[in-house]
Order: sequence, then structure tokens, then C-alpha cells
Amino acid sequence: MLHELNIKAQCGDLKMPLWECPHFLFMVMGFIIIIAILGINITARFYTDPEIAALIVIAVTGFLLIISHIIIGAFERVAEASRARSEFISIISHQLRNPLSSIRWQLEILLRDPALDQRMRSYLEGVNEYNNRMAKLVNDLLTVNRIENNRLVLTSTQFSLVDLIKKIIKDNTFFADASHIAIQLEEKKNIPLVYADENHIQWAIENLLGNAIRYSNPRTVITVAISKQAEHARVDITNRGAPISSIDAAHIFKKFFRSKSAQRARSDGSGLGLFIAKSVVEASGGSIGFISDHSGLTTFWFTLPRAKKQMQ
Amino acid sequence: MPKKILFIEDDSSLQRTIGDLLTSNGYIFISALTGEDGIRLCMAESPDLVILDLILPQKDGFEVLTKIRNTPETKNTPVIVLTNLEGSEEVERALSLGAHTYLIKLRYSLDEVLEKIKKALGD
Repeated sequence: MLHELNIKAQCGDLKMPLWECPHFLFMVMGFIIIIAILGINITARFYTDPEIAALIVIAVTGFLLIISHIIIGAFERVAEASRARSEFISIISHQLRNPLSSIRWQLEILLRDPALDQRMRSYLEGVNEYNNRMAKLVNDLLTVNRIENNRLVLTSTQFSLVDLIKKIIKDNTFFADASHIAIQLEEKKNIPLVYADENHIQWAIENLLGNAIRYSNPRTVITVAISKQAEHARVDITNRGAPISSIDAAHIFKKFFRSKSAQRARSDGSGLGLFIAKSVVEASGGSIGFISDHSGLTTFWFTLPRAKKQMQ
Repeated sequence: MPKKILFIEDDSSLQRTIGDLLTSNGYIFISALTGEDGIRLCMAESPDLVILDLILPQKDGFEVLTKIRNTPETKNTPVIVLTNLEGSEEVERALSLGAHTYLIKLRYSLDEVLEKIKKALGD
């Protein structure tokens, strides 16, 4: 709230000087309107001649038009800067994607070779891990860019959330084992099919489960519970780690946000995963949230709409 | 009789990678580096499946896809688009032109790509 009133700070955020910054110019215009109204009121008492009053009004209107013109120019500059930034991200990410995907697939082929000695294998696995991390960051940046430009395209179909989650857990077992963490699936009976974009939901769940593994205390268990509601299917992912403070809670789904405890626990992480998960789940007609208690038990949950026609 | 797969992609290193994957899984692998060559090979060899990149020299992937769909001998050949372009316009255009599957290279592992290829071939 205070930040919104601090015009100088807001113009600083936009990296614009005061006289070019829309926030400041709007305030100037507001002052001029107030002064003009008061001025017209006062002068009208001394000059009853309607011609003079009309001239004053024309002069003030002309002045306001000039200021409005400057404000529109400032808005155009802000929009242009944002467009340029988003094009920059898009071009850079696309140029990075081709080499990253080639490296990924060539490493996969190399790592399949049974003749590879242990030392070579461990080095190549290290390279693979770094490459996958870069690939994820580039993919996430592009997804965020599309969300911000309202160009996220969801191709919804009906699919089994249970099968998808089983696959994601299987893919993450190696990663969880390495951190001495077990993943337990709790599946209620008759979970309905859901209607959403399966690929995007897979990335959202991978982000949630990845976070649960990264921020769990060693030798603890993560539970993934799937349940059904009247109109939705619900997933709860619970882990034990550092509690999320109430200050961090307000910002946790914001882009590039990383809480203090998350930064202490892990130096990596882009602060994009939860922003993407929230955008994708909400765009699919579901909701998302979390509950964290003082003991460090944290549950991230989300819901997705049930498919209309049941094929099960 | 092993199935024949045509890969149209201008990155020769990526061609070798996918070629290794497919031949080691018992497929016959043929490839083209340009859109023009891709169309020519597709007409001459009648592959069971085409894997197509979108950014190609001479003729781009959309032109290749249109040509494949408009030729009676190849109009039913499944085409998997394998690209790093992920804009909504590209995805929608490729699917409306009759692409069977649209895959983003950096989002899939080789095993997942192989799975999609088998699915498109009905294997």
C-alpha cells in the first residue's frame, strides 16, 4: 500500500526519470485540475465577463491536453520497453533451445552405452544434470513470457490424474532417493478423469513435487494424496521442511519470488515454478493454494475440473 | 518388414542423434536437410512416417506439410512436427494443416519422442 503511494519508488522500478514517468505526470495533472477549478472559481468572482472566463477555461484545457499528450507518450515508452523485453526473452530462449535439446539427446544416447566406465558416466551424468537445469529454466522463461502476453494456449482433453501422478512420481524417484526422501501416494477410490491440458498440468505438478523434494528435511516422507470433490479432483502434496512465514506467504505465487528460507535451503531455483503452476491451474478452471504450520508441515494443493463424460 | 521414417531437419548433428535412436530400434532411417529435398524424398520413398522441423531452408515446414497433404500418395502419411517453436500460431497452424503430433524438442526426452513415434505408427 505504502509502495503504491511512493511515486518516486514506482518510477524507479520503471527505470524512468520523474518527468517521463506516467505515475508522476498523472499526479501533476491532478494538481493542475484542482488548481484550475479553484482558479476558475476565484477569478469568476472578480471577472464576471463571460469572454474572459471562457478564455481561462480554454487556456487550462489546452494546458491539460499538452500534459495528457506527454502522459500518453510516457505510456507508449513503458509499453515499448516491455514489448522489447519480452521479444528479447523469446529470441534468446529460442536460440538456446536448439543447442540445449541437441546436447540433451546426445547425452542420453551416450549414457545408454554399457561400455562407458564409471568415471566417465558420473561426469556425463553431471553434465546432463546441468543441461537439464538450463533446459528447465529456458522452458520456464518462455512459458512465463507467454502467460504475461496472454498467449498461453491450453489444449484440454480428459485424462487420468492418477496415471499422470504415478508417472511423475516414478520419474522423480531417483532425485528423491538422492536426497533420502520417500514419496508415498495416497489414492482414494474412483478418482474421476479431469479435463485440462495434460502437458501443462504435468509441468505444474513436476514443479510442485520438485519443490517438495528440494525443500524437505532429509529422511522424511512426502505424501501425495488424490481425492475427489463434487466438481473437481484434488491433489495435496505434503512435505516436512522449513515453515513458510506469513510474510512470504503473501508473495509465494509471484513471479521470481524466492522466500528467505528457500534461499537459505537451496541456492538454485528461479522463482518461476509456483507462478507457472498457479497460472496453468487457474487457466484450466481449477484453484491452487497452500497450508503451512509452525512445525514445518507444508501442503501445496490444487484442484482440476472433472471431465464431463466419464470414460472409465 | 521394418518401417521407414523420413526426418526433415537442417541440423545434421540432430539428424545423427535421431538416426541413431531410430535405427537402433529397428526402423529404416532416411533424412533431408532442406524442405525441398524433404518433399522430393517423401515422394520418391513413400515413408511410413515423416518427422518434420518447421524452420528449414528453401521451403519451410509448413510448406512441406501442405505439399505432403496435397499429394494423393502421401496425404495419409502421419507427420510429427518436431520443433522448438512453441507459439500458439505455429501449433494451431501445423495442427490445422494436418500434423499428427506437435512436439517441442526441449520438452521431451528421447524415450518420450520414441514413444510418440511408435504411437503415430500404431506400433
